[in-house]
Amino acid sequence: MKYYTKCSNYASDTCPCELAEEGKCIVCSMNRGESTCDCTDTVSYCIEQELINNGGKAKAHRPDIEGKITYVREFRDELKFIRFVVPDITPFMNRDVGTYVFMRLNSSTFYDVPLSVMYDDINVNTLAVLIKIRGVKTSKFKDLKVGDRITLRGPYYNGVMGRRDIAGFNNSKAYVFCKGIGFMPSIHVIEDLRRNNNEVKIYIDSGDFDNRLIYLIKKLYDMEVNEFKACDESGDLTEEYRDILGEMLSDGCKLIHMGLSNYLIKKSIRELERIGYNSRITFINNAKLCCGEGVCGACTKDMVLIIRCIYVRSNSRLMKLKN
Amino acid sequence: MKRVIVVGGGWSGVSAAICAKKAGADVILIEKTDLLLGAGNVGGIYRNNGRFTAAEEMIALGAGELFQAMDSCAEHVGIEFPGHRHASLYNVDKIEPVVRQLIDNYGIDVRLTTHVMDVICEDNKISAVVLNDASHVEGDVFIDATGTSGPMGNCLRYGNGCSMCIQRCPTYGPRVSLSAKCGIKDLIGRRADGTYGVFSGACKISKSSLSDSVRETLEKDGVAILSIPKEDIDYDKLSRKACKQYALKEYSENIILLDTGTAKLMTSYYPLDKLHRIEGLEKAHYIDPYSAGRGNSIRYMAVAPCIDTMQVKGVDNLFGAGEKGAPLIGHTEAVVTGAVAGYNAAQYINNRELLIIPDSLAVGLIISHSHENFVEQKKYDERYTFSGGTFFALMKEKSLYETDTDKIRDRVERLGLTNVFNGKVKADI
Repeated sequence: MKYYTKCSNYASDTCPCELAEEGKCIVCSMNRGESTCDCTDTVSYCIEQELINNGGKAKAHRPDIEGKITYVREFRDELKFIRFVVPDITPFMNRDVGTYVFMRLNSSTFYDVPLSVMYDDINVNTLAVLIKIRGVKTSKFKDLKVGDRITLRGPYYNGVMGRRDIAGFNNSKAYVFCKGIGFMPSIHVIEDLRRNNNEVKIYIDSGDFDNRLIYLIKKLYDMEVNEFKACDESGDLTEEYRDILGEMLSDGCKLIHMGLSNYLIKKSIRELERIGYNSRITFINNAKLCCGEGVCGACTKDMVLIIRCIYVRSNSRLMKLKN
Repeated sequence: MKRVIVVGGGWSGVSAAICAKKAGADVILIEKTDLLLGAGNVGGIYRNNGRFTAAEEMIALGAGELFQAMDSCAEHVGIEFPGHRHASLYNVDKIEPVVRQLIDNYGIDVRLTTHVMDVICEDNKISAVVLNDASHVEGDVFIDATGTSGPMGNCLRYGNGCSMCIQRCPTYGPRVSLSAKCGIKDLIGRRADGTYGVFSGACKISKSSLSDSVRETLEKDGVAILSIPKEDIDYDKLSRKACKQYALKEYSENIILLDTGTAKLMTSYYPLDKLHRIEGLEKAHYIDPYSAGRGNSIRYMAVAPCIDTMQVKGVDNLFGAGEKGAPLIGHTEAVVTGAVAGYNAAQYINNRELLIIPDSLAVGLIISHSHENFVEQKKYDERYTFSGGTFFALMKEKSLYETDTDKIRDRVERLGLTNVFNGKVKADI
């Protein structure tokens, strides 16, 4: 099996980024100092040529966007559904699976929180996100109310690993397993899979959210979902989950999407390898979001291949990287 | 039936597909753009000098259908221009549909606008090619006819940037070297000064943008020769050019136009403002590559190390065709290597002996000679063609240059190779 990488920022308005300026582009072999071009992208966007045309400099970053809150709904104290308007929704119109934004209230970019864009209405320039209030950054959103202003940066696109697999998948059968807030970045995956005429079975472990999440999903998206429990208290996959995976294999499923934690994704992949599943796997990109503009440097670490990768086929290679 | 996958629908890919099909294989021909023939859509010159011999040898060997297709679109036959005799020029605007029809008649599965981006290769054997949508096309034997020009990064580094040539990389994606994807290092052609790659050697000018007198001469004689103002003559340009047969001083001192349906300008690139200073070309307008005022595509960037059966060294079931298989210039040469690769691919899957065309034929000699020099002796600044340069001299030295078709047919007959490429499967031409 093969393993491919491509930058999620490739050919966007902000490509080439600082990495290319420094001769460290993760896509372009010539930028990295190799003597021949090994580009394979189907619609080639020549990063090196763009860099030269831009005076050898990285292109400007995505600008900050001001948004105004139009609707807030709270689920207990920890889950906030926010809808807000932006001056121009054009950048979000070509939305792809895994689209996310950085959002903050404070002027310091330290408080940037990556949030999946879960709902948008291009007619009224409105976007929606769901925030789980948990740490120092997200707690800033605790007292958010209608009329407040927020600052956004985005959109970025690597919130889901396996975009290419999802895009090229049609007239088949897919299973989606999500837990808690992991469902949010998976919504567009489900929509895309359905649009491509696939039969999609959705299993949700509502996690900390009790049945409120299920309620929200049913109400907002009119989705038929099955409930399940992904892991037991000792951290092992439940019998129930294993059984579903077994059924899925005999059901002829060709794509599995996981909106789970890294821990559960890893466990699930091991189980899938054990039972001999050998088709497409996609999952949400937890904790490995980088700035997408070559600024934070996360993508230059060893993990680079996975951080900005949008296409993963090799299960075992994946395991190696994740371990 | 076992399946041959040909990647690249240029002259060599088409030739390989036909010969594999005729030898009884199931063939899929994959091409990234929406046209077959690749650079053949801007070519047009054949049967000049030793290419006449080569074309007739191929016809006698049973791979004549593509030459007959060219002949059916030829608007000038037996013309002469500096350094070249008895050339024919096919109309580049008419040839592709003719070849497409021929391919269809053979029942070859052609997949246009399909971009191969990788291969699945294990234990030196390819099992499938990977398309851009992540799907696989499986086969038993593969032919790499992807060419050696581009992609954009190479044209930028070793040329003057993307010149918007017929390859149309920005639209259909870059050339992807299958052999390199199998881990076989590509060999890179060089200029005399050691720089990687060479410029493609010609550009197309819209005939309607020429003056009436130049256009009339061109259409009547097939060739128009216009002198370049002394201050604009650039002799150095010849060393950067792919086509050694046109690296003559006449091509530096003159603008040489050939009528291939459009006006083919026999130079890699020529600044438009300087071109406009030449009488008759005041309003000249490039149509391929669109940026021929500044540059042209860069070629010979990815020659695979092949042996004379056209098998790629190091991969059991991969054959090279066209520039990929040997550092040869021109589409006559591409048809030759393509035919050998296609025929041998079919032989390979049927466990039959592979064919090496003997050196006593020009088409056999060019393969072995180029492999010996380029692959074995690493003479990376050499390229070969029947129509000029060192190889044409060698042909003459070995008395292989011949324009009498009967003698050529006899030569093939004596070797017992008549119609060797003509297998069971026939199609109307």
